[in-house]
Amino acid sequence: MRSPFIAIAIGIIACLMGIGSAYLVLDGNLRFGKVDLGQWDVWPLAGEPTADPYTKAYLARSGTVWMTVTEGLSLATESDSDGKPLLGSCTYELSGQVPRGRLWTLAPQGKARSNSAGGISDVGDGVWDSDLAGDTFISSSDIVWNEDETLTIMISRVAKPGNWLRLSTPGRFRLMLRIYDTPLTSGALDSAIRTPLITRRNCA
Amino acid sequence: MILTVRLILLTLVLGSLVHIFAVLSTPFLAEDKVWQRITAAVPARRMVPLATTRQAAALLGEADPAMAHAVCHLSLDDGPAMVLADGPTSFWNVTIYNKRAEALYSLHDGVSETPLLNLTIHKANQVSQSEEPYLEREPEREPDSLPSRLVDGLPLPLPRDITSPDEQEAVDDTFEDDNQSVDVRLNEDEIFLVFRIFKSSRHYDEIVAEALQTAECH
Repeated sequence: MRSPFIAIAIGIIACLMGIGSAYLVLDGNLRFGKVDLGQWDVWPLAGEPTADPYTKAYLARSGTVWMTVTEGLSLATESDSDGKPLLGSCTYELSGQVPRGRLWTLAPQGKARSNSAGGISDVGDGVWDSDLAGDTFISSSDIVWNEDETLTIMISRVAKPGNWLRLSTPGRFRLMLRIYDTPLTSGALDSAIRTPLITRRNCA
Repeated sequence: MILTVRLILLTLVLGSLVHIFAVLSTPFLAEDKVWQRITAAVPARRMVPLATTRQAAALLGEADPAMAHAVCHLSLDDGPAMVLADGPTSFWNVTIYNKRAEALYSLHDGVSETPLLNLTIHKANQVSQSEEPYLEREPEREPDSLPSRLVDGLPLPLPRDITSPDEQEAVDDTFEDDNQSVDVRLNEDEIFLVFRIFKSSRHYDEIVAEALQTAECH
């Protein structure tokens, strides 16, 4: 009498654990197959048939077409050089070098706010959306370079002299740096590649 | 006591199996969201420009606001497809995806002059008129170079390193050989493609929109 009951209980608990953990892992942000390039995150195999099962499952669930390495590299960051989240109320300076490529574009993405007291949303609710950040961008074709071939871009809601990326979101945002037609491939990604640094200047 | 430990272990093992099964089955259970959205929104075998980043992101899940997008979906079982576009000299790329939104093939400017874009997409077992030059060029491919890994049995229209003059020449020859049309062979039936043109500033919006509007996919 006891053993069928136990078997059913084990089956139910196992299903709950398995599905629950899969749900938690696939919810929120893309966590697997990530490569760190300085402050930036890259998912070099995302969108390709050879991607890991978690990345595939994540992209399938969210219904996202990801930029693949044949097109270029898509770098993302949600935090500044101190590891603090990027906030629309602050001014940031992006400086350094961008990995080689035909063209790069830098665009902020906002996140739909959570309904909890209108606070800044946590990771896990809402998806990143460039429309929420005012659909703004700056690219390699309209940038003024420094003399030493580095670049400086001010990122803020108020206009700045020089290279300026306009922010229109007051809350958290992330930056997407998309490098098109770059010779960098998934095998060539390591910390020796120089990526720009985002430093917080001041906050309103 | 030992029985309890065994039961807990059994539960954990079963739980991990369920977890693995759940993750692996997600792409199949998620019902190809991108494909569903695109086929619901636009007619087959037509290049449809997406006016705003919001529209592009709504279909593709993610879109670069610096790019103007157009999409086209089709079934290769209905015959080979032609993709033609002519327009601005701005950076562009076109990527072909399967139903599960995995990239199969990608082409960008950088080598081709005019016309801007001329692709012929076949199913891998469909007979192609340009079979011969295609076979001749096959040995030029590096077996594990990146794009060839993505494409089944295809001539490589693009070298990764466009700074190499030798490779550049080889590619130019390729374009002359088959009358500037690039042959793509895929082992898929239902595919969609995304055509992106860089809009360097708002002033170019009209020119870019014009290029997307006149692009063909049939």
